[in-house]
Amino acid sequence: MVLPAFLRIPSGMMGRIVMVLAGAILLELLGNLLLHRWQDRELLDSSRAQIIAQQLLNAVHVAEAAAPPDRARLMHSLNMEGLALNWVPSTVIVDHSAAQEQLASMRRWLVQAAPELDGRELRLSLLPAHDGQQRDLVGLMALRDGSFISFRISSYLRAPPPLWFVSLLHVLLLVIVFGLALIMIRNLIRPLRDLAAAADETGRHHVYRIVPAGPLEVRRLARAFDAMQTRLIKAMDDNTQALIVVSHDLRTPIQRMKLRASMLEDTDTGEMIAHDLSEMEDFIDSTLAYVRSGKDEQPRLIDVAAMLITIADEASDRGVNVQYIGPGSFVLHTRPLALTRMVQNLMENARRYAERIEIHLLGEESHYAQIQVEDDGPGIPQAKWAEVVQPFRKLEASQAIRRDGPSAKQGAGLGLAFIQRTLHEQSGSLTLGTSALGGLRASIHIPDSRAAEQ
Amino acid sequence: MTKPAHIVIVEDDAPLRALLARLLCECGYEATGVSSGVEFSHILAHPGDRPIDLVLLDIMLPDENGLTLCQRIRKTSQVPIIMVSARGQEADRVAGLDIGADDYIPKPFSRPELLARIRAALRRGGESRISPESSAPECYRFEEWRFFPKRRELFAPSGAQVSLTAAEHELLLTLLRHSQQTIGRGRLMELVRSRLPHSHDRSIDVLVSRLRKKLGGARRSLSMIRTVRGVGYVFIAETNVS
Repeated sequence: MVLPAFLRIPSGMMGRIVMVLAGAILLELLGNLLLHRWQDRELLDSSRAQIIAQQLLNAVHVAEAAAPPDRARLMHSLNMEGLALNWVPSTVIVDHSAAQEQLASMRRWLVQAAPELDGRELRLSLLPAHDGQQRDLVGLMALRDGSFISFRISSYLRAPPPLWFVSLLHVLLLVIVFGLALIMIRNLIRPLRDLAAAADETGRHHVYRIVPAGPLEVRRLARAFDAMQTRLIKAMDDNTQALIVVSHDLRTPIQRMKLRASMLEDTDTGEMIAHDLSEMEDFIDSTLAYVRSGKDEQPRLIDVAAMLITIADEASDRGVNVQYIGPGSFVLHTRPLALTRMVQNLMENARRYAERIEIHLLGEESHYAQIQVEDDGPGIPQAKWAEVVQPFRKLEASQAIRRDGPSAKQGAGLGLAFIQRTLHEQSGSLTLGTSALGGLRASIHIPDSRAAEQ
Repeated sequence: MTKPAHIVIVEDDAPLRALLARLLCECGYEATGVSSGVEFSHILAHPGDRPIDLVLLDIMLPDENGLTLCQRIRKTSQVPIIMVSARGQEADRVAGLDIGADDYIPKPFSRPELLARIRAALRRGGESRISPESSAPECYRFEEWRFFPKRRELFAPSGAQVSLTAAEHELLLTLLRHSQQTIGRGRLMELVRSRLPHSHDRSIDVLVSRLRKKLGGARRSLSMIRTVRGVGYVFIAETNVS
């Protein structure tokens, strides 16, 4: 069904805000009216009004049939529960029914119940009842000779509620209207919040599907944003892919040079070339590791202790002074290659600056592991901790005394950044500190990947 | 005098192929280079008087994936195959070893690395021709542990993968192959030498103690690998082969 334009929910943000505002104002108005009505509630129902009307009519007939001296007495005899009658030759009471809505409707009721009353002068007014709280209706009905029958209906309007109570009700009304308006505005801007969340996720290299919803402007923004996200991720992927392809393709020429170097008659030169080539390989490996940050691997259940022991044993076979300190077995669900690379990176860093390395394993099996690589090197000043985990950042030789001179292997400056990035993907963290051995303590906190997912 | 081993190099990069062939010839092997799967199939079908002793197979080939080629070779031949692929492709390594390659060497490799792998593969190939049952089975099970020698994966009773160094892997495989038999230290030394960086008298004992630690702490695995004083070691846990 197609609604005419003015009945449709406005599609724009402006239109919707106007709608909410108008709705709130209307609601407040309506509430006020109802409150007002409720304050002056009538205590008379229609059947009682009917009886009173009949009695009044009755009184009119009786009074007009009787001689004036008898009228007052006769009227008193017609008194009934809640209705007092009297006859007066003249009156000073004036009609208030034009000003008081309840009186006007009472007049309609009476005329409706006894149509003969129509055409007679009827003056209605309010007087406080004897308790001073409720109010009585005082009325006068003109007789043909110009005298009046006066009547008093007791407890016609209920006592007005105390001021504090009325104020409270008004405040309550305001709160409700305000609350409703808030909820609607919240709904109105929810798509914007979703969009912000999507933007946040894009920064974490996740593809986050954006569903265009909400007001026109937000939908347009969402679509534009979605397109931008797609372009951005594609550009990132393209760059990553290009980097991976280049790194891969470099391996064949490196391979050739490596074999050529091994065939050189001048073995010293050959060894030096081989050393340079293995440095190139390290660059490629660290770049690839950084780019992939462990995403090319599925998590699995592994024994972290066995892994660290293996890393330590392999390093000490190569002549590194490294010691593993921790349990003999430690089960965790995680990415084994990524974790191995991270620990090897930390070890490689430590080996460059320190003599002695310790790997500590702490944590809680199947929940998280805390791996600390400590060394006795010069450490890194605390002021530099934030800086060294940035990609492509290397400490200058002046800031840390290298153990094995400037000619030793140097990475691409991606080691700590790679760890940071990989851990970020897996909800882990890297912290630097000062080791009990005197040097740097690099500490990896990695949660069980099944626990991290939940 | 025995004939030099014949090694076929399947590699699409021509200069590298030539280099490898030259290097292998210098080391006393006979080498043939081919650039594609089709060419290799031709040689495989018509070996002439030069039977193939080993295949050095690059995974990235222009016409056919090295993995499918490897699978095809395995249907007809038990010739040792060493897969060559760019470093870091863990999936390639596992897939290659799964479909029957004997070893895997990541590019770029060094000359001594390559020669060591070739020697080891040729030796294993020679062994398996003498006693075919000694070629590595799919899986060994002992006391709820599982060991997949081809994938080089060891799983603890908890299901967690336990990493091993190359030497530990070789030692465990040797012990499992000769389960319930005492193996002399000298023999063990010989078998795992290619994986040991600098072997001396005590290195086999160090290696055994490392493996014991990996197999769930010294107390439990003492009962799996028992020391036979003055002779060597024996793997005494009940072992199932599948």
